[in-house]
Amino acid sequence: MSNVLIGVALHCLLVASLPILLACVIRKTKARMQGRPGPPFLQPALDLAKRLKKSDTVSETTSWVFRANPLVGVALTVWLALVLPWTGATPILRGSGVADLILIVYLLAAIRFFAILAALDTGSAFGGLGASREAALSVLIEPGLVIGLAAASLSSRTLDLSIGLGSPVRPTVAILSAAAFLIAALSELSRMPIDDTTTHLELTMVHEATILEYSGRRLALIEWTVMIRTAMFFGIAAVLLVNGMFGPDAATNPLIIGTGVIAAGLFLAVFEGVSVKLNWRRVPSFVAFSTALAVMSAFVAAVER
Amino acid sequence: MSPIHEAAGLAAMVSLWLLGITRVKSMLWGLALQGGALSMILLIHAIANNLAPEIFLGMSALLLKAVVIPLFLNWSAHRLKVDRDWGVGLAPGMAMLIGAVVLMTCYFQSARFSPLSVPSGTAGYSIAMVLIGVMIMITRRLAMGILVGFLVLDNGIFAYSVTETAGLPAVIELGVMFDLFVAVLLTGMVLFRVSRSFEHMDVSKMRELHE
Repeated sequence: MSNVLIGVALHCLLVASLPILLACVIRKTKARMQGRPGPPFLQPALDLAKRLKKSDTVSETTSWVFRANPLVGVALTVWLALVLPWTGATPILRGSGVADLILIVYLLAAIRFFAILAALDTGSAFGGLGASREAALSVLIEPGLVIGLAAASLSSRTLDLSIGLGSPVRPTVAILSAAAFLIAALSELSRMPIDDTTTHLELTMVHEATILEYSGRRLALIEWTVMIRTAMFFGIAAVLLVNGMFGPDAATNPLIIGTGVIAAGLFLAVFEGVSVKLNWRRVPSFVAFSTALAVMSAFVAAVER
Repeated sequence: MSPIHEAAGLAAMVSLWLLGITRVKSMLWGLALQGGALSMILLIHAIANNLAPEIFLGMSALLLKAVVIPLFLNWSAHRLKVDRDWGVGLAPGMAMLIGAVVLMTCYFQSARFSPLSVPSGTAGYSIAMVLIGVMIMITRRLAMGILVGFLVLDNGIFAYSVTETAGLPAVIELGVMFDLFVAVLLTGMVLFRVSRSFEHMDVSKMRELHE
């Protein structure tokens, strides 16, 4: 019992600290990749603290949806981060079925739904543009996400991800699913080959366009949400991969998974340094890779039974 | 799952991967991996049954399919200055997705393709490799990619013959393999001539007549 409590406490601690650490690592490495010394290591955390202290400006034409969106995002994301086993430590309510695969995927979709509504609510041209792109992306990546995770849970024979990700999975399934999941995550998180998070060029921005009207506290909340989601997606991919390669014992070791998440962040930063943004019309083809990998993973998992 | 089944599955997966990539160098790595996996099937089978001619056949298949042909194609790609092959018609990712569906359908319909009373699924893998080879040939723009598709198709036929039938005499198998090698060699030469006289090898640009 006390072991479980320590595990849960460790999980909560990691949920609070790992995302911000990951954001710091990505920012610093990206700066180094571009040949700049970059800001101080903790700058993303300092930015967050600064924005939380500032007051925000809300347009008079917006409704409650615009004001509620950051809170909905934070609430759902923190809840997902607490129940999903992405740190290697014990998630809260492990095995109770709240981390059901279908529920998790559609809670993620609910976050995007509110982000899209809020972007449309501002009535600005960019909001509509970003919302339309965000909606198109979410339709594209959903099959890859669902099928990839379903393959892993088919292999472990439970829909509850808090148990399924920690039980033995065939290496082929784990590697294919993790690859599918990582590609889907790049699009879900609006990272490099799909969307450049640092750009404010109207023609190319996706995620940035939907949060353009936010400022102060609410912007800080949204940024924090994105940090948690990034760490969570990398964590799940790391758990899948480690589980497939070294077995469930390694996949429930917070030290190994934590290192894996940071390593994924380093890899992402290096990748973003050397890659270019995809033509928007090539994005469906790129995302179809993820779906094809997920389908193959499900196929291998189904054949193995 | 037997090692033979695993190797056939690996070869089928690799053909799917070949369908989805555009870099010629990666395609040649995939081709080498596929050839290696297929030769392994032959070698495992031969060593288990202690058949000397088949062991020799397996070794020569390994040498030819996994080493010589990819190296030769790599050399000619370097000479032709071909780096990437953006597909025509179907984007690579989409083609890969359709290929995955084809592969699954073939696998679950293995009983239709197999002459054996207890089909193991390897027939489905071989037929899927043939179909995916055809798909690679359809969706590629450069003659190099089409050649890779042809080799995948041939590998599918090879996989079918080694997994589903008792096999032809080793002499005939060797002869077929040597024919294939000569065909690849000749295609390599022809491609060089084509690219020298047209200054490209883009088949989508060869449809109109020029002065």
